[in-house]
Amino acid sequence: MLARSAECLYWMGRYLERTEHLCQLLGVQIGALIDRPVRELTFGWHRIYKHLRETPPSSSQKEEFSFTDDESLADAYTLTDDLTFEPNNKYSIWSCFAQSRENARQVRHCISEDMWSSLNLSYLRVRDATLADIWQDEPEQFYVDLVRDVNTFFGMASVSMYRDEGWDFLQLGKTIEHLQLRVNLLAIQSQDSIPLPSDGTRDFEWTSILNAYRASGAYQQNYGVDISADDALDMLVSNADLPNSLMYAITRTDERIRDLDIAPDAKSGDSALRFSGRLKSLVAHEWPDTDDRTRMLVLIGNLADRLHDQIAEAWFNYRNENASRQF
Amino acid sequence: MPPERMAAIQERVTRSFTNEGISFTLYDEDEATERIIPIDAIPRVVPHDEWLTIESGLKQRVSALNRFLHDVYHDAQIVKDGVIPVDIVKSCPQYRLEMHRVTTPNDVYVGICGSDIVRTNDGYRVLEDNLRVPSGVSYMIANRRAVKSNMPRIFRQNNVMEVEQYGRYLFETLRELTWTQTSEPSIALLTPGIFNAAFYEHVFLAHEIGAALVEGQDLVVNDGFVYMRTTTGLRKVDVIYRRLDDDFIDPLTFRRDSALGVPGLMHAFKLGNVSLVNAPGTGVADDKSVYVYVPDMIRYYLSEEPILQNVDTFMCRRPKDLEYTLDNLDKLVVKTVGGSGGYGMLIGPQATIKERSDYAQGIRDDPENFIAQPLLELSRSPCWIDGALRPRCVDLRPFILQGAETRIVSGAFCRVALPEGSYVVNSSQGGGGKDVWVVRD
Repeated sequence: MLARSAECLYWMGRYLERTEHLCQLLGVQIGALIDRPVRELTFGWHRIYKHLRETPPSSSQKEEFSFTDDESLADAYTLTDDLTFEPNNKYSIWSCFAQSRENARQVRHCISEDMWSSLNLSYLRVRDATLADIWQDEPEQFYVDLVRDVNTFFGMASVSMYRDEGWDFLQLGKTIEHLQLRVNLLAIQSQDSIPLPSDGTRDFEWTSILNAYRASGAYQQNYGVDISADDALDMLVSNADLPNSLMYAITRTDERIRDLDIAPDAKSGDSALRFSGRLKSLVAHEWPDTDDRTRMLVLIGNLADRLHDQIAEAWFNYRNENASRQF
Repeated sequence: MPPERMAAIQERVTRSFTNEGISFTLYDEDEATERIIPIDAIPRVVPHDEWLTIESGLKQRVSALNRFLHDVYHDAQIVKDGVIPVDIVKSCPQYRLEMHRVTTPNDVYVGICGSDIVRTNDGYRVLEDNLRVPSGVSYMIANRRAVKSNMPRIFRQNNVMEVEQYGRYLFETLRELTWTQTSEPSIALLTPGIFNAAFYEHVFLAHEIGAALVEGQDLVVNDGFVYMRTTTGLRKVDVIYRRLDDDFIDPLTFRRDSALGVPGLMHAFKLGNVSLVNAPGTGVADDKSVYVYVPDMIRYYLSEEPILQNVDTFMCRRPKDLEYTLDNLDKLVVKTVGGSGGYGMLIGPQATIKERSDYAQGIRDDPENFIAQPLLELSRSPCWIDGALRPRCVDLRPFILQGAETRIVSGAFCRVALPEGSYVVNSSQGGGGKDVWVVRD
């Protein structure tokens, strides 16, 4: 497969995973507007922006999230608009859909018609919507529908896409993005720099993450109904059976890299394999015994970033002099 | 058919184009906009016997054009024999000295040709031949798929000839135009990229023929061979279906500032290590000054009379024609010899006095750059517009493939001038498309 086509598929997977992730968080955040205290809402916005390594729009930053309900609702509208429809925000859902579609346009010949139509229709729906439209009634449903759209796309891919390298790179992009976004979010959530709520617990904050990642049922099965921050974090990091855990993403990433042919830049390909193996071992063997979970999450995040760089070097941006020639 | 049903079909056909993103890119001063190409659901019907005339006329024409290109880049016998004036050829900007003595597989320079045909009171005539990077074939197939799926019963009842085999024909043609003629050639379709107006078509065709869709940055020339960058290393390319103009394909040979091309590509091509379809330099044969001589080429190379006639053309480089053109601007369509896309032309009868006056000055300043043609009464076809049937001007662009043999599917991209009273069918200027049904008795 053409290296640039593989890169387009990889980024398509990344942008769609980012879309799904953001929709899940925004769905929960907007649902919380109904009855949660302002402080929790404020923390929720802070968490979303910080894990994306972005700053909120200037007005909200200046006011540092007002603590009266009326003002917080007005601010929520601005922030939701910024994260959903703002073309200049590279992390907005609109941008993610537009970018995934631009990548898909370049590889329409490598994906099925069903995949293209599914993605194109979703893009058109987002392009033609405004926050004023969706804010009127059931804004949460808008995000639920978009998550379904992304899942439909990957469902279409799973039943219609030929299992060649294109499939591997699409899935690899998805799992790397999954890993990077979630490890960033968990690192923010677990650090102590944010003051505790007045009740002295972070229960709701963890509940909202479990809900966003559709992990509440699995949590109850494993730990019961009381939410413990330690248990929730442990499950979201190391439970290999949970599709939204870090371990799940790391395992899939490792499998995908092993499935690929030897990279044109073999040295970077070997490094990618080493990094994915190191990530697996870190979560499986070192995570359970670590005393500093935040530091460990930061380490996992750094390794994930370097893994992405090595994949790009090995298969997409390799130097022609290093590559083998086929006649 | 009741109007409500026709409206529903039109709506579904239009929506299917939107949903599938069948688009072209339109440029204005500031930005590029992706637009869905308008489609009219009512097909244009061409009787089979008329089609046979078109088909044989086009095959004859492409054969002569290829003979001309081989000749003009070798011994130029047609010039020596005085059939075409030497200055017409040498002054053409698309005449490429770099192609001198360069041969191609099967002596084919134009593998893919899209000729524009209009139906006048005197029958079908060729308006122009597009021999560089003709586009529109993807819309021919997309139109057919959309109309067929939305009017299945009518389609079935009318014995319409298929166009779906175009992809197979194109693959066979490209295979025949490789030097090795291997059964499984490595094919790359070279595109300028996602911002090109015809990018949808490039993706479509790459899919149809199983080619890699490459940009210049994906190709590298090494030891006189062309390779593409793949996820398993560098893979040799046998044939490049290039959708990039000559000027941009190789910065070492043509425009040095081209970032779209491949340094050294012409070297590999001249060594016979890769085929380029269409070959560089084919533009000399679709220059509007050379167009006038195509009927003479047919007589000269094939010893046959042209089956399809040209449109009467006045060459402003000839003093008499210049005088006639300037005296009759209000009756003529004037075009620049190297123009395309409907840009830079004057439709005299629709222009204001000032527009004609300004244009006349341009003609006087550089007469060699202009040709003039009478405003043709183009055939009109019924279109579904604003809830009613309305007549609109149409043309036909069939696609002819020349490899070891000549192939043509029985259908064409029909371009429609959608604005009322318009004669301009180009999609960049408000034109749309419709399916063409070649119907057998």
